[in-house]
Amino acid sequence: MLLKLLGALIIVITSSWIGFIIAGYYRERPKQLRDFQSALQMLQTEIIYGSTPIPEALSRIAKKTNMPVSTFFQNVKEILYNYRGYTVDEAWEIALKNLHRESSLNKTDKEILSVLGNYLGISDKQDQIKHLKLTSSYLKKQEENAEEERKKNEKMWKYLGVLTGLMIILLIY
Amino acid sequence: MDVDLIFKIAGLGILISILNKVLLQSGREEQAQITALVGVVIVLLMVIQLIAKLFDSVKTMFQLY
Repeated sequence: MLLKLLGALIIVITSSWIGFIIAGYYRERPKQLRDFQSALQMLQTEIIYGSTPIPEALSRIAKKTNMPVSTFFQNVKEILYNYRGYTVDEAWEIALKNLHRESSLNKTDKEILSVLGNYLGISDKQDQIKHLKLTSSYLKKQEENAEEERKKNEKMWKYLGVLTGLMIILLIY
Repeated sequence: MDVDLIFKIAGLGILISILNKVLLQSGREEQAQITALVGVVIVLLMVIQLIAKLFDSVKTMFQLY
């Protein structure tokens, strides 16, 4: 009897955990897109008013942003500082690939960000600002989509996880 | 004949109705319909043996062989 209850508890906890993980993906994505937008805003400021060299600007931004975004910028900076010979574009690409595990961004978001990498640090201020603004507007659109998806899916996955667990228990009890 | 089965079916009904409502709320009518259907099928599978038994006993009672 006790063992049965214990097993039931484990099943409920596991399935609701899975549900919460999937819901977390939907919850995190708009937040991370917003973080990226504010980071790009900061980068614009650094480029216009500070004319800061890219690695330095990136490390400053990394200190001011939240978790996955800050590790991304930190990553780009470290690649630029450590492995001599990488261009900003390549470092940006590598860091984006590393970002894959810990972020909830999807393929389109990453594609948008990776295009930006091509233009950073190789042309004059105006050109870079233009590309930063363009990327920001794309990200804004993605954020709206993500927000809509979150409203639709976050709650559902939470319920779905718990209820599925309860259902499995009822079926095999 | 155990009462457990009745409780099991009642629990399943409650869970499926909640699931249905959640799915409808998030705008997935098709999935909601499918879950309802799956619920019906599962309950039917549980009950079908009892129904067969009932038919058998009716047959023996009225000697319809």
